[in-house]
Amino acid sequence: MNLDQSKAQMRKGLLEFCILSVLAGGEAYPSGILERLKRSGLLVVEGTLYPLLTRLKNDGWLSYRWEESNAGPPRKYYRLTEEGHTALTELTAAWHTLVESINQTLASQQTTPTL
Amino acid sequence: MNKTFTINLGGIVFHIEEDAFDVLSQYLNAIKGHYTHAQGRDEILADIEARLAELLSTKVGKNRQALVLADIQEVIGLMGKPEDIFGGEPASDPAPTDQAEKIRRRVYRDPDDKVIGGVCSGIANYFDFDPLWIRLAFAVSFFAFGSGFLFYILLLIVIPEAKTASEKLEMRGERVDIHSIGKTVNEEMGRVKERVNSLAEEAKNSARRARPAARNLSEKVLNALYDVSYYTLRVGAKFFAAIFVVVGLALMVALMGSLFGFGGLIHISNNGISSSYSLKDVFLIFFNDEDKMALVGIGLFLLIGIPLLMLVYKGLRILFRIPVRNRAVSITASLLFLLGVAICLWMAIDLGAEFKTTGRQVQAEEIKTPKGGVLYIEAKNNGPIPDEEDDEDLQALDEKTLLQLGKWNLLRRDGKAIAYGNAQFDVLPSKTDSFELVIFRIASGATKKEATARANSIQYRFAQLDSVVQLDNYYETAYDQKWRNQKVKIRLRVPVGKAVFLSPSLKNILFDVENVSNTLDGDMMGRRWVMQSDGLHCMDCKGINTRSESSDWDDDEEESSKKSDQKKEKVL
Repeated sequence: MNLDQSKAQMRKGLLEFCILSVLAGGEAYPSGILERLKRSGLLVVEGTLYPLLTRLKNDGWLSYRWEESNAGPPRKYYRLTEEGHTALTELTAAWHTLVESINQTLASQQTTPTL
Repeated sequence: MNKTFTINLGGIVFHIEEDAFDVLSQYLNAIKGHYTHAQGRDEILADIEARLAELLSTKVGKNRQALVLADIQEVIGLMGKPEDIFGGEPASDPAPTDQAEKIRRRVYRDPDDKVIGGVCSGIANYFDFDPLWIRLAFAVSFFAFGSGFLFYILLLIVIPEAKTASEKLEMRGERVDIHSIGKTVNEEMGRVKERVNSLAEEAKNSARRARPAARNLSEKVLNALYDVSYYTLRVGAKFFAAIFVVVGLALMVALMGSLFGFGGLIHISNNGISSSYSLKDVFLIFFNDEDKMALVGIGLFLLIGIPLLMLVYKGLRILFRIPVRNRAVSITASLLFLLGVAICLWMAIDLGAEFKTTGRQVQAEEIKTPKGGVLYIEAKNNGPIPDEEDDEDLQALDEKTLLQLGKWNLLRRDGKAIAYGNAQFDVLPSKTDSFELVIFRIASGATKKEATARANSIQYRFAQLDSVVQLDNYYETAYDQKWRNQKVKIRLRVPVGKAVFLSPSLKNILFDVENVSNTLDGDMMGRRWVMQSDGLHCMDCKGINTRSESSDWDDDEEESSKKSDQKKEKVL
């Protein structure tokens, strides 16, 4: 496993969480979500998004509605469901715990503690 | 200049160049290959297609209408490779992923290794043979009445040439063997199973939700049934396609053989004698014009051959998954078939005209009344059909080759074709007080004159020796007169008070003789019959069980000619 792959794996694990947090700000269609994720450098290829959205929708965390577009095919606008909101809250809590513990792990491994 | 296709991507129509199209469809297929139905494949695919359409619609405008390879490569780069897309998802099953990367092999003609059209090398490639063997096999089959040649032409039409790079890739794709065929069948059966399972799941769920879902469920049942039968048919189709090809080819060889006079049409006569005739021999019985015969040959070839060719064509297409490139083949085939129908109809009408009128010649001969008052009638077997249970005769006949059309027989004697027919013998009361033998010679023709002349040319003999009248079993007609419904009817008029003895040798010609006891012909032979004012009475029938119901044999001329027509069709 090389470095690039490790980084990609790390990002992929967090992608679901990111999608949920993007959608917490209101409904959006895939291209919009993509814009936000790309800006933050979390997404490398667009295709990754679609299976994730479908899975989240099938799990009941997301719902969508169709909207006509004057440029191109009709768009799916996704938004969080009640379940999705609950899940996001839990995931956010989990994220903070995770960041804290990772930081602690990193700190304890440094040869000269910076205190 | 490049060829373009028109595609519908996410509901938007695009014009796309051929090479770009190949790359795009391979890309979408690869994505499809990663997922099974149950995991929402169709939905994901639709989403991806919609996004691709959105991206691509920015590429085309007023100045540029067609998508090129670079556009496709750019959006695929943006979208990511299938491995990247699904990398984060739990893999559905490693096997399909593996398979999607391999391109399934298809049969193509190989333009880089060809002698005539690259057919042999293409087939060899498909089955991993050395092309040399296929070429040899074809070279040999060219001698099977030219059917190998026809088959080659057919393959040349059916199998497309590998032109683009992707087609050449497909040509050398994953090997097709028993293993991979088995895999395909398993996959398709798997899909059926999946559909049934998901339906069972649905049923369980809807049962819980009760009524409102019922309609929904029935729709799903229908859909599932459709899917199940579709996949089953697809598996079955390959099987039937293989049968089509094999049967079609075999029939084609038989047709070519019989049309071009090499092979034989096996005909088994009533006597159980099998003889081999080519269709040409059969035509010769009806047509005396070489041009018409050639026309009939062409007509029949189109009428029977074109459907056979199409059978093989469709079979090959299903078997080797060859897509339809243009409809020219089917249209040409349909037109040729219609032409065949037209020619055959024309020839049938033309031939029908030869049967328009009937001519007859009547020959009445007075027979001296024998001293005892009993006239003995017997038949002389002058014809080609031997008496039964005479193996030696059967053997001899076999060599002469015999063809039967109803009561009409064709044989070769001393290299010359001769036609024979059974005479029909009847016994009727005489109006005078002496015996009289009347011979009717009957034939059809286009005009009355022609028909009468043809009837006159029929040869039929009889002889009287004291009290014995010997009738010929068969009449003979010159072969070049062709078959024109020739018949010979003999009527013996018996004066009241006189008797006849019907010899068993009459069995082939005795034809529905009226008598007061309604005795069947078979029971009338070997007995004496006396003519009285009300008809024939049996003189030696005491204690013999005779049938009382009237026989259903029909003396009507129309009827008997119909019968022989039916037999004629059977032979053809």
